[in-house]
Parts: sequence; structure tokens; C-alpha cells
Amino acid sequence: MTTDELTSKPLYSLADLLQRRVVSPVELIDAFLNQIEKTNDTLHAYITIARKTARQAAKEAEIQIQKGNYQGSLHGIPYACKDLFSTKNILTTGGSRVLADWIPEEDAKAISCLSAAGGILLGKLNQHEFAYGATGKNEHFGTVTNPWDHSRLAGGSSSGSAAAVAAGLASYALGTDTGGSTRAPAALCGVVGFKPTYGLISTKGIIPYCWSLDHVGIFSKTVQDAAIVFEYLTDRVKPGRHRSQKSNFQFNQTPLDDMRKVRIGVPRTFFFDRMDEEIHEAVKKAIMLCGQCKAELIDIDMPPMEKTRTVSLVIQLPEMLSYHSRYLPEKKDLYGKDLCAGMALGQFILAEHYIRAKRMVEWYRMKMEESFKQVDLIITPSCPIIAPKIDSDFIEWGDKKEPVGNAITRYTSFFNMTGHPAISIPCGIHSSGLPMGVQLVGHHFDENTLLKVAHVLENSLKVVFSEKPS
Amino acid sequence: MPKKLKNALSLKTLQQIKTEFPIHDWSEEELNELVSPKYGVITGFEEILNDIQEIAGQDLADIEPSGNIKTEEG
Repeated sequence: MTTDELTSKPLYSLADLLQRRVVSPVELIDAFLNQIEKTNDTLHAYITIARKTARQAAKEAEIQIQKGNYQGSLHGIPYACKDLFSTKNILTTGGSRVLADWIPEEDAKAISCLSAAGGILLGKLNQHEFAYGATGKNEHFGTVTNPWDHSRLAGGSSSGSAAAVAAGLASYALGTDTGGSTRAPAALCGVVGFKPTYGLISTKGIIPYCWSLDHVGIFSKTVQDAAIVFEYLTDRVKPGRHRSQKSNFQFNQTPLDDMRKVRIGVPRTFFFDRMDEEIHEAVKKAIMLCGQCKAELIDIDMPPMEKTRTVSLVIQLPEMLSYHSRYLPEKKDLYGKDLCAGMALGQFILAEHYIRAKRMVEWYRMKMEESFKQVDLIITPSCPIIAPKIDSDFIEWGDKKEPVGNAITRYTSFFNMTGHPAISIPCGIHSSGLPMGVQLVGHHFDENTLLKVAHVLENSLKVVFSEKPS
Repeated sequence: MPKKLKNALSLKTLQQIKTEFPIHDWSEEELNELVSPKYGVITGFEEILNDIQEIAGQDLADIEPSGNIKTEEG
């Protein structure tokens, strides 16, 4: 099998090839390393490539699998993570010069989970500096380009994670999501981006951006792949077994053929205002397909959304400043200009403002509990725009200008405050050739329904990209 | 309810605060981004302050600040 063939396959398919010994872990790791070698100079997806340790781990996996000790779906599968995750003995920069030489002594909890499952870390992925900002622009390590059009942004902050999975530089990837930093770049790059319920996957060992809103995110080619990784990250699978018998998450055991008995809420306001017309049409088509799959579609009211971005920022910026105050006295000059301005803004937010914002979040959660009494899921666009040009700082809507970062996360950041699990899946290809995404949001801790319905929708949408991104 | 800001927030105001409060040493360029944003990441501070003022008009009764998500078992 060629490098292109191997690196474009979904995780579940690669796992099958490894288990049946059609492909060896070393062949697989070499295919991904070749792909990285070919395209990383253009994409800037990786900050650090862990060639030596990855090949060594692949050799060990090969020996184990040949001995008949296949550990499960992630055994021998190459993946990568955002450079915000601590990795033992591997440079961890957070996408910043501030940590240009930091070698952690321990892995983040999520990395430990994947290592225990036999996952092989290919390297550390580029990002918006310290997860601040949704554009993925990075003046220190280069801005990650969109694999579908190198003159455009991949989105952020987990820009490298989205681009790496889209371009076949990793089978799957980990990112974080504080305002949409997994779902939005996933939508812009044409891959699946999934953030489970707040707190469900440990953030231990991940450089914080905003403790109150940080989630771990999973990037993958398919919903099924995201479900596999999710199971391992929640400690629901023990090494050597495919699935814990105790798990109530049974993605493969009872798949849905359709969406019968599933109630899907369609927000009446906010989520369809000021957006690209083709994305609007694509999402309408996705909603119609849900109806054709026998889901009950219900128009729902959401809490007032106009100020939600401000509420989120009023929490994000002071928390970011609080964390980085440990570095500011000595290393302030090493931070990017946009990040410094964000921290400065955090400095001027009053304590009363911060507390009020946290109370607003609780109010949003209470309001959403009411909305979720009527429905099992909510459907919205993932992002109101296609991937913007790299040099664009604002999006113009008639006579109004919206900062690019605000536009990218306009439909996602609310669900970081409410903590609901949410997933973005590709829902079509824009006339510009760029991907578009649709977002599904579930009840707290009901990733089961969310992923199963997302899987049915993914199969119904049949989004097929005519060309492979590079 | 607190009123909308009467005067546009100026760089001078922020610089004045910087000299009188124990805060980090923000440069003029950084403070200027709050007044006239150009990096495409944040809206201006004035807009945020006006939003905050509007939010402050909402009576949140005895709602507490948010914490972790509670499971059905609590």
C-alpha cells in the first residue's frame, strides 16, 4: 500500500489492517513520517516531530502484535497532539517562545491513556500561541495553512491538529477547545472535531488557557474514529481489551440505522444570522436529512446569545493572565503581540465583571437544561464562514466588521460555557472548494446519543472530497 | 442599571491606570490594541465594557457562579 493510501484511511480501517497483520506498525509509522516530511514545510502543522521515539515504539508494537498480543483499536496507531499537552522527554512549547526549551518530566493524563492503549505519538502540533485566538496565526512557529488552500487559515487554536488530520500527517490528533478551538478548525479543514462534556476527559498536564472553559478535543477523519479515541480517553477501556463491559458507551454494539425517536432542536435565532449563504444551505440540507432519517425536528428557543461572546471573554482573559503572570516578569517580551494585548485586557476586567460572567454561565446552563427537556440534540452550523485568507483580520458583513477570531468561534463558544458535548462534522464542499461543517450538541454526559446520531448523519451526508488535500 | 459609557475609552485612561495601580507593565502598543484593535482577535475594550454594562442590568437573583457540571447523581 502506498503512503497516500495508508495515510488517508480512517483509524478504524488502519486498526483492522494492523490486527490482521496486513500492515505492520513500522510500515504505518513510516508512511506518516514520509507524509510529514513531504508537506510539513508548507503546512507548518508540526512544531516537533518525534521520529526516533515513534519508530522505536512502532518496532515494539510490531513485536507485540506478531506475538499475538494485540491490545486493541489504538495499538500501533500513529497520532499527534497539540503542543499544549505535556509530553515526557519531548519539547512542549505551547506554541510559544516562552517555553522554547521546556522538556516535561511527565505526560499529560490524556497522553498516558493513549500510551497505555499502544498509541504512538508522532509529534507535537502547532497552534495559536497558548491557545489564545481562533485564527491559528503564530509568529513564532509559522501560521498553519489550510490543507485545501495554502493561502487560507486552518483556524485555531488547534490549527496544527486539524491540518494534520486533514492532510494525512496523523491518523487522529488531540487538541483543546475553550471557545471552539477543536470544532471550528475541524470545520474549516474538513475533518471531525469532537469535545466531550466539560470535565469528562482530564486536562491534567495540559497547559491551561482558561480553567473554567478548557475541554480536551479529538480530531479524526470519521465519527467512528472519534468514538474509539474517546473511549480510551475516558478510561473506559482497559489495555488488552476492546471495550469495558461496564461502559455505558456502546458505539459499536448498538449502532443506529436511523434517527427514529431522536428529537433534534433547531435554534430559532442567532445561529443562522450573518453567515455564508452556501454554508446556510448546506446546514439546512443536513437538517432536512435528519428529518428524512426519521428524527423529530423541533424549533427551540435559546437563551439570548448576543452577549455570550463577551461573557466568555470576560472569563477567559483574566484566567489566562492569572496563569501567565508566573512568566510575565521575566519573559513578557517573548509573547506574541496579540496574546499580550489579550492579557492586558484581562488586567482591566474588574472582579465584579468576572464573577457576574461566571453567574451568567450558570444562568445559561439553567436555561439550556430547560431547552434540553424538549430535545435530545441541537443542530447548528459549526462556523459561519469558510476558511479565511491568512492576511485577513476582519470579516465584513455589510457595514459591520467582525474580528476573524470572533467569526470563527461565533457558533461554538457558547457550548464551552454550558459544557455540553458537541461535535462538528463535514457537511459539504463550498463552491470555493473548501469544507463546511455542521455542529451537533448533546445532553451533558450523553456522548452515546451524540456520536451515534452524528455517525448516521455523516453516512447520510456522504461528503466526498474530490481531491486529497496536501 | 449601569449606563453605557459616556465617553470613548482612551489610551490615556488606560495609561493613567497603569501608573496608579499595581499591574503588569503593558506597552503603549498593547494598550492601544484595547482601544483600536487591529489583530483580529478581540473586539475593542469599550465594546466589551458596554456589553458588560448591559449584562449587569439582568437580575440574576441568587444564582451562584458556575462550577463543574453536575451528573444526575450530583
